Amino acid sequence: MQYDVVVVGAGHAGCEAALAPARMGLRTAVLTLRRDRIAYMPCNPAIGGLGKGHLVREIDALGGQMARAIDAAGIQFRMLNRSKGPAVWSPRAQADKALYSRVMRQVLEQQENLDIVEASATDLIVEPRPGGGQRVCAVRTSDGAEIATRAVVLTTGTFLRGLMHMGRDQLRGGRSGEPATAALSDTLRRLGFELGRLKTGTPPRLLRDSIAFERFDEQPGDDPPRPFSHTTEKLEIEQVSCWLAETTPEVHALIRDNLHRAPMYNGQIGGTGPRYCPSIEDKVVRFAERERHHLFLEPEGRTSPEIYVNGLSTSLPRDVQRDVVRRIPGLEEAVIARYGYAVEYDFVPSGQVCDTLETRLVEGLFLAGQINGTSGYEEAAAQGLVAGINAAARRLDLPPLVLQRAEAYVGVLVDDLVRLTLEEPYRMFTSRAEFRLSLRIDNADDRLMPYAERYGLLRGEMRRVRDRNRKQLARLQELLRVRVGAADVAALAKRTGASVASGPLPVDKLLRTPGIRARHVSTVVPEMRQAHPEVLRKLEVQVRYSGYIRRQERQVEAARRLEERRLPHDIRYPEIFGLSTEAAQKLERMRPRTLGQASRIDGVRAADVSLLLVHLERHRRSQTRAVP
Amino acid sequence: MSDTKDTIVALATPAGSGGLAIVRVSGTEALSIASRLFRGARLTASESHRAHHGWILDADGRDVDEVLALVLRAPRSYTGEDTVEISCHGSPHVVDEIVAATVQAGARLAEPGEFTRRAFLNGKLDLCQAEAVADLIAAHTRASHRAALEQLRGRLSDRLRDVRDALVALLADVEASIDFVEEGIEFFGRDVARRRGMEASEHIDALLATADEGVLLRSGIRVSLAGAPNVGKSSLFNRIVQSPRSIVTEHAGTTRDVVGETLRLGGILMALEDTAGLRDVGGDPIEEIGIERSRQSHRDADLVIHVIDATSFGASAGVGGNGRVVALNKVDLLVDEMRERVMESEDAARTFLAAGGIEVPDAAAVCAVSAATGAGVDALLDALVRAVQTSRLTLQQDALVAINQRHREALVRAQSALDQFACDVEHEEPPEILAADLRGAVVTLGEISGEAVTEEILDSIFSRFCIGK
Repeated sequence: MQYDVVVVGAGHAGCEAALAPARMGLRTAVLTLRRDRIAYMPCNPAIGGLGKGHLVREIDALGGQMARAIDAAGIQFRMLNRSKGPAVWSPRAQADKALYSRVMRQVLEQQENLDIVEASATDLIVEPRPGGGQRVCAVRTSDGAEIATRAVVLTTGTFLRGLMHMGRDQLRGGRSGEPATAALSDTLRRLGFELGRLKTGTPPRLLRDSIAFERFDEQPGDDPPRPFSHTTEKLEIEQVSCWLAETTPEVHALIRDNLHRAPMYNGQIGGTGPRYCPSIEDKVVRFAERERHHLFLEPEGRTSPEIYVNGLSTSLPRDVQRDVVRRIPGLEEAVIARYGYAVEYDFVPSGQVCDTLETRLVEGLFLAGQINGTSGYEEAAAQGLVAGINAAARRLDLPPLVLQRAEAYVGVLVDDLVRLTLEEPYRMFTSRAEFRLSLRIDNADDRLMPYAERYGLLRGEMRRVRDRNRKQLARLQELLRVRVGAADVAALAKRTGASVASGPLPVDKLLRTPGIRARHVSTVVPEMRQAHPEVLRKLEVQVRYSGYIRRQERQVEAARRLEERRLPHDIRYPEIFGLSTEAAQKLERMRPRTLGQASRIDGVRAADVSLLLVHLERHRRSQTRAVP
Repeated sequence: MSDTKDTIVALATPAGSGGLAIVRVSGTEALSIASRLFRGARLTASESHRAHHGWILDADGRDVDEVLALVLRAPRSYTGEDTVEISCHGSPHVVDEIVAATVQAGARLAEPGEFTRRAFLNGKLDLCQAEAVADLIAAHTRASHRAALEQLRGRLSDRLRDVRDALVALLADVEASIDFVEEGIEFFGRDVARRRGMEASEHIDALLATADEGVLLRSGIRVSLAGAPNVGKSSLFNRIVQSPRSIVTEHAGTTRDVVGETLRLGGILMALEDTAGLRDVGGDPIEEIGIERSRQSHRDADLVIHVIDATSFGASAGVGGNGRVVALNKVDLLVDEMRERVMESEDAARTFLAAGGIEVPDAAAVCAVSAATGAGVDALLDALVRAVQTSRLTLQQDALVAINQRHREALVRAQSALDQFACDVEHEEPPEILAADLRGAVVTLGEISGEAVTEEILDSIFSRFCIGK
C-alpha cells in the first residue's frame, strides 16, 4: 500500500487533515480505530463559542468541512455577544453528536482519493534524509501492514498513553470505552521527541427522563438561526433548548468534604488541567467565596437520552458524583448515565513543530490537535486543516500555508503553539488576537478565501459566494458616497429615534450614526436592498470600525516589519554575543522563523530582540560584502 | 548607525568637572591602540580588570600625563568590548592631548552616546538603563546624578510598571466581559472603568509633568529630618504631614527605620522622611541598620531639616552642608520670656543656638517651633518652601536631564489612547472598542520596557474570576 498522505486518527483534526490533501488531488488514507467514531465528540455537544466560532468560520473560508458539518448537524444555534460589537460576535451551536459524526463520516466516505483504513498506527518508519536528519517513509499498523508514504499527520487526541481517572479508579484509555495507545508514544520518544503530560476532564451525563426541566431557566436558540458556513444559505430546522441550573452551598460543602478522594487533589494526577474549564472541585476550592456556580444542561442530540452537564467536569468517585448531582435543585431524581472522569495524556510540547505544523525532527511528519497541547474540537480542526494543506503542499511543491496573527485566528493559534510554553491545554479566546477588530466572522471570506484558492480548495459554491460578495460589496462601497435627501434623512431619524444632523447626508455618514443600521438606510437607498444581507452587514461593520482599524494599522505595520525579518535556520543562538542565557536557550529550542516570533517568546527581552536585529544586520552586511 | 567595528575614544567623565578625568578607548583594537601610547606595561598582555601605572606619550614620544590605565576585556566592560580606561588629570588640555594621541594611534572619536549604544547593542543594558546611563553622563549636579542612578536601578521602570499593571488589570476585566459572556459574571461597570482609566491617566500625567520639569520632580524633593534622639523629629514630622503616621513616644530611639510621606507644599511635591536619631546604639545590629538608613536618607536628601531640642543641646552635633533649615524645637518648654524672643526673631534664635555652642551656616534658616503646640510650624514650612525654591533654581540652571524623548513620546501616545478610552466609555462604545483603546495604551507603555500583553491578560482573568462553563 502506498499513499501521498497518511493521517493517523479521524477526530476533528484528522478529518480536516485527510479531506484537504484528498481534495487537492493526492492519494490519502485516514487511519481510525472505529469507523463509527469518526468526528466523535467525547466532551461537550457543541461547536463554536467565543474565539472558537471565529476559527470555524475561518476553517470554512479555507475550504475545510467543520462549518458545513455543524450546519447539517446543529440542533440549536446562537450568536454570542450580540449585545457587543460585531468583531466579537461568535456563533455557537449545540450539535446532535451522533448526527454530526454520521454527516462527517459520509463526507469522508464520499471523498474522492480518500481511503478510510480501520486500524491503529503502531509505529512510524523513518529513513535518513539526504543532507542530514530523518524523514518519514511508512506507517506500521496494528494488523502488521506497512503503508508507504512521505507525509504523515498525527492527530492522536487523548490516546497517547491516555489514563482516565474516576476517584481511585484508573483506566488506560483515550476516552470512555476505547483503548489507549502507548506504542506511538514510544515511537515519538525513540525519534527524539520530548513528551509532556496534560489533563482534561468531562462531566457526568444524566438521563433526560430523570430531570425536572420545568425547574430550570430555558435557553432557546436564536430566531432565525444563523449558519456557520459561507455556503449555507439558510437553516430550516426546529431548534431544541438548553437549561440553566445552579450549584448550592450544600453542594460545595459536599465536594469539599470529599476532596481527598479527588485525583486532582490527592496527587494521583500529575498532568495540568485547564483554568478556563476547571473541574467543579477546582471551582469550589479556588473560588471558595462563591455560593453558586452556573451549570448548563445540554442535550447530546435531538433524540439522545443523555444530557450533558456543562460546568460539572469532575474526577470524583462515582458515589460522590451521584450525591453531588442529587443535591442540585431540580436534579434530585437524576440518574447518571455516564460518570465524569479526568483523562491524562501525552503531548508534544511547543518548540518541536514549526509554523507549518511539520516537526523539526522528522521531515514529512506533521502534528495536529491535542498532541500539540490544545483542547477543543475547533482548535483541533483548524490545525488539522493547516497540517493537511501543508503535507499536501510539500508533495505538490506549493508554498506552505503560514498565516499571520494579523490575518487570522488560525494564524494566532499556530503562532501561539509554536512559541508558548503551555502549562495547560490551550484554547482560543478573542483576547489572544491583538488585531481582533479586523479578524471578524463577517470578513473571513475576504481574509482567507484567497488562500483556499491558492491550494485548489475553493470549490463550486464557495467560489460563487466569494464572487457575489466581492461584487456586491464593491457596489455598496460606491453607494457610501450617495447623498440621501433631507426629507429621507428626517424620516430615518424619526423612525430610528437617532439624532442626525438635518439636511442631505451621505450614506457613509448615516451608517456612522449610532442607532442607524444598514437595513434602515437601505429603505431610502433602494439599490442597497439588492445586496445579500450578509454583505450589507459586512459593509456596516467596515464603516463602523474603520476609524479604529486605521488606528491599529501602525501596530499591524510594526508587527509586519518584525515578521518580515526572517531568522536564518542555521543561526546558532548560544554563540550570539550578549544574548541572555534564558533567551539563547529558548530561541535555540523554539527556533522561531521570524524576528516577530522571537519577540513573542517568553523570556526573550527587548534587548535580546535588538541584539538579534543587530546580528541579522551584521549577517546581511557580511553577505552583501561576500557577493561583489 | 555608524560602524560598530571601529575602535572609538572619548572622555567618559563630564567635561570640566573634577580633578580626575577618564578617557575611554573601546573596540576590538582598544588594547593595541592604547599600548602604542602607553609607557609602563604591555597592555595587550594584561589580564582583565587590572590597572597599570604609567605615562601617556604623544606622537613625538613626549610625556603627556602620568596615568592609570585600566584594562577591561570583552565582555566584562561597560560596552561589552575590549576597553582601556585611562584615568588622567582633569585639565581640559591634558584630556585633549590624550584623546588626540589615541586618534593618531588609530582610534576614531566617539559620537555622543556611542559607548552607551554599543553597551546596549552588546546586550549589556536594556533600553531604560541605556537611557538612564545617558542621563548619568550628562548629570552634573549631585541631585540629578542621584535621579539618574535611581532610574538606572529601575525606579522609573517601577513607576511605569505600576501604571501598566493597573491598565492590564482593567483590560483583563474588559476582555473577560467579551470572552466569558456565558459565565454570568458582572466583570466591570462603566463608572468603575471610567474611574480606573482616569487614575491611570493621572499617573501618566504625573510622569509627563516630571518629564517637563526635569528629573528632580520625578519623585518629589526629598526632605529628611535629622537630629539627635528624642529631639522631637517624629512629632514634628507628624505635625507637618498632619497624620499620625510615625510612631511618636517619649522614649529615645523609637523611630528605628525611615518613615516617609509625600506632601505638597507651595505647589511643590515633597517626600518628607522621618529618620532615627543619630546616636551610639552600643552595637545593637537592628538599631545600627536603622541609623545607617538615617545617614543614607540624609545623604540622599535634597534638603535636611535639622531638628534641635531647645531644652537640651547635649547630643546635637553641628549642622551639615545640606542643612538649609534648622528647627529649634520644644520652645513651648522654655520660660515665657525666652520663648517669645526666639519666636519673634530669627537672629534671637541664632544667638540662642550660638550660646549653646551650635554654629548655623548663614545660608540656613532658623525657625523656633513647638511640635507639641504647633507654634511656629507655618513659618517653618514657609522657610522650607523658600529653601526648596532656591535650590530648585540652582538645579535648573544646571540643565537638568529630562526623561528622554522616547519615554515622553510613548507616554504621550499612551495618554492619547486613554483619552480615547474615556471618550469611548462616555459614548457607551462596546467593550471590544474599549479593549482596543486600552490595549493601545498598554502596548505603548510596554514599548518602553518591551513587554508582551496577551498571556498577562489571561493570567489576570483566571486568577480573579471563576471561569469555565
